Amino acid sequence: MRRRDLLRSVAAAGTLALAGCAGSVGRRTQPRVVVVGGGYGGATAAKYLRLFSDARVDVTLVEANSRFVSSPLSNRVIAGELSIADLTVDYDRLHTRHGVILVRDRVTSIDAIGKSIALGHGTRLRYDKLVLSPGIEPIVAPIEGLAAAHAAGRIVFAWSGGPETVALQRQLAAMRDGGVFVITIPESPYRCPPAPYERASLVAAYLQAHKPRSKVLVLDANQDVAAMGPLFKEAWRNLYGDLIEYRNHYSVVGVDGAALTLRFDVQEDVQADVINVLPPVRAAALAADAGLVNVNGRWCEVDFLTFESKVAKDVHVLGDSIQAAPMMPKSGFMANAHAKVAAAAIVAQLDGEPPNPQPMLANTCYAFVAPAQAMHAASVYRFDEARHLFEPIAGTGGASAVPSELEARYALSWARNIWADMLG
Amino acid sequence: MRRVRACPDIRKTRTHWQSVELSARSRALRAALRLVVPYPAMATDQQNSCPSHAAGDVRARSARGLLLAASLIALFGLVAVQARDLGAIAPGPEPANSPVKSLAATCAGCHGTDGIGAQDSAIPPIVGLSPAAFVERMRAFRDGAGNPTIMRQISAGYSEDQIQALAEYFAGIARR
Repeated sequence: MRRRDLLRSVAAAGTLALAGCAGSVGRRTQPRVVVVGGGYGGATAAKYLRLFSDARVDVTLVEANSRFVSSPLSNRVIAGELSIADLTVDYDRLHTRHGVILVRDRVTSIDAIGKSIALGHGTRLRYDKLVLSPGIEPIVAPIEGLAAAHAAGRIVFAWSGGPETVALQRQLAAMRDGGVFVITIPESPYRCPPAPYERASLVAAYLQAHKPRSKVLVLDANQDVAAMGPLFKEAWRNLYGDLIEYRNHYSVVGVDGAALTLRFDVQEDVQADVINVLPPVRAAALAADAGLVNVNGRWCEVDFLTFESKVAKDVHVLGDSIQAAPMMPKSGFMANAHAKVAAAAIVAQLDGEPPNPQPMLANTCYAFVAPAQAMHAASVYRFDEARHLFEPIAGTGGASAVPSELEARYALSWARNIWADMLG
Repeated sequence: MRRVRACPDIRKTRTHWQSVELSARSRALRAALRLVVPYPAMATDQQNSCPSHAAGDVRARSARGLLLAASLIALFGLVAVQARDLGAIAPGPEPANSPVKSLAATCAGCHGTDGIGAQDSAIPPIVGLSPAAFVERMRAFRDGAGNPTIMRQISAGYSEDQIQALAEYFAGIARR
């Protein structure tokens, strides 16, 4: 209460907030942590850095968007069940409640030696510790014609919550009854394993209700449904019949945006009315430009005890952009979990203390199969000291037995609770 | 969202990491202490009060602290007194970066920061339970009772000592 009451708003980027707090008596300057990215990882990191340090660490959050928009639950916007406003949350409580300095800008470069970052509007921010939670970007170039089709708005990805989510919903709303909606799924790992199948399910529900002669075609580069496979397939059988068709081993090699045709490495071309290509993804360009991407040209390797980059000292990387340990999915929930471990480790390091030797992670992915039916997959991880990584704990985790209305309510409550945990 | 004030925990720790695994001896001692000094009545949703705000509870907690320290020294000889202010009348601020706080943070992704979720959440808050009730509920989940969906899979990931530590931590959080 003391620290929250005494914070004042900050005029310019990079200025330290006044933080009257018993914990900082006697210290003229506090260590500063800059957090880049205000998503599930970055927002959580910013808040928990303040909580775990009792406001003894100054935290600046740099985010390009003015408000947070969730990707989780965005499939329900695509299916016309929710509005994008339902997934949108303000950042201001991070400042008013927790004293995080909010800077709305892009990061153009990172100087890990000099320990500063450059912002789009020209400012430089110095840091003692940098937390990067930059998310992912699509790998478009290998799929011929995709860049052009995407730029023209003919094919959207809708893999980051926001304008493309709305665009895809509009494409579906405008589709004729009897049209075909195709979703292509990349090889694992990608952001949020169950999400493409949830998308197919909810679009099927929408079409069944509004355009019942239409079809959903799921073309999956993977060998099988990458998450909760038996549950999804059974739900499709029970709820949608032959409205959904699933095919595996389909890898997209080219698209024709004008003709709305997909080309595959092996199979015949497929033409559709609405095409949602999910390209393979990799860590966002900012991480690559900073030299932090060192695994397969796609992911950032980190020390799992602290999430510190193995490439750059005092730079911690969270969320989808990291090279995960086996069995660690990429999800918003995981990014939120990474952030807490990283925040505790950073505060300890700034205090000259060793980090917690026994961090834990937990993850829960909720997936809808219909507007009022959802299921989950959960996992709990302990830190294995010998192998220096997170491992699922034997006898824990698992998925739902069946989708249910109860879990649909849990899924919505989960979203509101995690957004409050990140941003409230 | 309701604001949270962390109530001081009787087990004060410095920022040195300590395992939350309690030794058998300290578990027995704590059990004995509960028989001697009743745990203060827990804040419920309706009461919305932090035990430490009530003077009587502060004294009760400090009395427990004194008793704990005295018992440890008497029974085990030289014991490193970890708490900063065992024996003080007014408890100091809780260490912010403790193992139990990190442990509790693993619950927050579903239950909200400090176990307080959004209003009308279908996922229940996990504050306002007595430690015994919290422990009992987690045991029931592990045995397959109660919540039929997810908590059995999650609760299995926490040891008895971790659950006890979480129980006491969340019992100490109150709403305003």
